[in-house]
Amino acid sequence: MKTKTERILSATQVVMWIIFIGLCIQTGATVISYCVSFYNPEAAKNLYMGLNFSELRQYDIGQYQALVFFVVALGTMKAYIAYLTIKIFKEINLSQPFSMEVAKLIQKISQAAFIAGLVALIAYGYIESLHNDGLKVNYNWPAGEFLLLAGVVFTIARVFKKGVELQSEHELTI
Amino acid sequence: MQIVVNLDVMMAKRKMSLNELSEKVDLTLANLSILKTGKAKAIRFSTLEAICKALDCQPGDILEYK
Repeated sequence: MKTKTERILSATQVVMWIIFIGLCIQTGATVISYCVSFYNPEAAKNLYMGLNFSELRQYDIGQYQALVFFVVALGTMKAYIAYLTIKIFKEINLSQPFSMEVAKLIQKISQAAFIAGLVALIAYGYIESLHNDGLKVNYNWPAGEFLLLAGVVFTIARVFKKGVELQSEHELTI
Repeated sequence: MQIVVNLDVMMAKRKMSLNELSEKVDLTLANLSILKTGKAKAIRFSTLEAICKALDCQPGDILEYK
């Protein structure tokens, strides 16, 4: 008989798998559309779910490549964060949840979120420079959100590491 | 300098095996082994009391600071 926590974790694991697969599809589709756009510029009008960089592609193919790189990089980081979260579900043992492996995974998530935030921040600055050149590029760069996530998860990682130490001490308390 | 557990010394003096001590103090062999080999990080007073009662000794006979 599963406890309420176990049921919630099982449901969350399913949701994370869906998110991970969705992010992989999103990133993969963007890459494929980008490759197609080299032979067929019309593909740049809809890279994925209405993402339109056709104006930028006509303006400068180098800058178009750079922007698509940022989009793919951010998508990859998001998928990686989802993958690390799925790994936590595989590693965690609810009878002794505070293990070093899980603590390392949580730390990796905070590092990945930080890198994603930096990528988004750089991309945002890049887009602003394109706007100054009179180009209209609409894309949402959640830099602040990722940096906030990085800070929160980093704090949780430190607290979790303390939990690992306390659990280890408790295990060796006779 | 560290706390050393002289459980095996007291057990030898009282001619008691690990199994017997385990039954008397209601501790598993694994936990007693952790204590005996000096891997324990802490010991509860209740455990120390039970061991001293079983071995008829003082805490200082089992724990030494050297």
